[in-house]
Amino acid sequence: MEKKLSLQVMVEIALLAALAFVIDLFIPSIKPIPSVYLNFSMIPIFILAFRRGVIPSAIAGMIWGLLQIITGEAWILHPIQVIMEYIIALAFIGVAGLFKNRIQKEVIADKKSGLIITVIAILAGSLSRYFWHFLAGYFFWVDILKIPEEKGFFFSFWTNGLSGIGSGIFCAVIIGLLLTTSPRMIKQSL
Amino acid sequence: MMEKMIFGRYIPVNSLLHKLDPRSKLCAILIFIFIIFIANNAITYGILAIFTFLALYSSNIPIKFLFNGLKFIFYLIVFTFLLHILFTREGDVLVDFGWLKIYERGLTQGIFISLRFLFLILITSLLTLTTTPIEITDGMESLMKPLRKIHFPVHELALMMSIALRFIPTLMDETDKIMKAQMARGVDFSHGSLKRRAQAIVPLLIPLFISSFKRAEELAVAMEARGYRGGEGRTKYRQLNWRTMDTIVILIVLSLGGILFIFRT
Repeated sequence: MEKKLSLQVMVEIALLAALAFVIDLFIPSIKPIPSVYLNFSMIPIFILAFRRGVIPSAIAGMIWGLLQIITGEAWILHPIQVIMEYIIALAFIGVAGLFKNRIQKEVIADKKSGLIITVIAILAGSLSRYFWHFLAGYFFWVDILKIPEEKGFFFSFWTNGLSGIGSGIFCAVIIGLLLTTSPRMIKQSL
Repeated sequence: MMEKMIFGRYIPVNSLLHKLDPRSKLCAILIFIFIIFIANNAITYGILAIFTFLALYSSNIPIKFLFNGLKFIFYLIVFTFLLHILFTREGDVLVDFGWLKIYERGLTQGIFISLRFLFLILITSLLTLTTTPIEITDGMESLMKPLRKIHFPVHELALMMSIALRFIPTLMDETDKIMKAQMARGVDFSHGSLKRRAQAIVPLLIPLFISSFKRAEELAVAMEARGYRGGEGRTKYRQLNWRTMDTIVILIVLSLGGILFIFRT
């Protein structure tokens, strides 16, 4: 990273991780059904993914998780659960950055296919994140919530699956509106 | 909204825990998170309760601060306890109301798991209540130094954390101003249909993103103009100081693990 990331990219990572943290504090998640949460706070990480790619957005996700841990916002049950839910899961949002080049080319050229790829990228990032929450749910939360083991798998699968898809769609709608209004946001220099 | 402007949960009072090096607190809490799983009977949970009480006492944190941020977690602990009591059907029946039976194993499991959860939350909260986020970052950077040998960018990670922590209050202030301006025009961020909420967020996010990217560019230029060249040979304004008390704290937590192991059944 020392040689690959420029100082400006590092500062952008820091600021967008901070922005994700602030959005998480200020704008409450939507809870359409019990145990399913739709949240907007992934948006800055997705924007960074489309602007700078996989590695910077994965690092931003990780820093966002670390910020939650050190400010006492994290739910700590076990060290492995913390690493899974606040480091790995949030870093995996960066998977959306795999589509960076196509999105940059097509969104800036104002092609409709750009928005479709954006939605796919966001769903990939969101589901990658919630896959880790699903694992943490199955291995750690099911025990605390006293859900029988055979039902625990499905409970974690459905709640995290729905949260992942729901949050992904919600973020996709907002990012779609953002990129339509201001596509230069994902250009590497404003 | 303004109560959210105080980010982090640090309470600046004078106490033994406040004076400890952040590295010793991080290590002690990590060890505690592992050893808490050794406890499996009334004696070991009793020992953990005494340890937790002594730790809270030595932090000098007013009880109301400690419990203020934990209200929701207490509901979860009570919920967990009730679930265990109602759904565990092992051991002797202790209470039989016909429609409700409480089993011995349900009661003990409910108490033990709820206590474990409570102790974990209280002890991990002590880290953020007695240490500023920037001290925790410095501590993490120092503890991760050995990872430099495998080319892990420890300094860069700490730099990004420090910048993020520095700018959280600024971004909070900016978000608050934009939200208030939008709310004055009748926008509701917390209620309404999904479509309305999505539409409400866009005018909030655009200025935040644009100002963040501009700020990033300016800050990077300012840092380079002042000769920033990465971690090599960089000195620190805040120096960490490991004292005898830090070693004693680590030894106490390790001894706690040993004691729990002895009394475990």
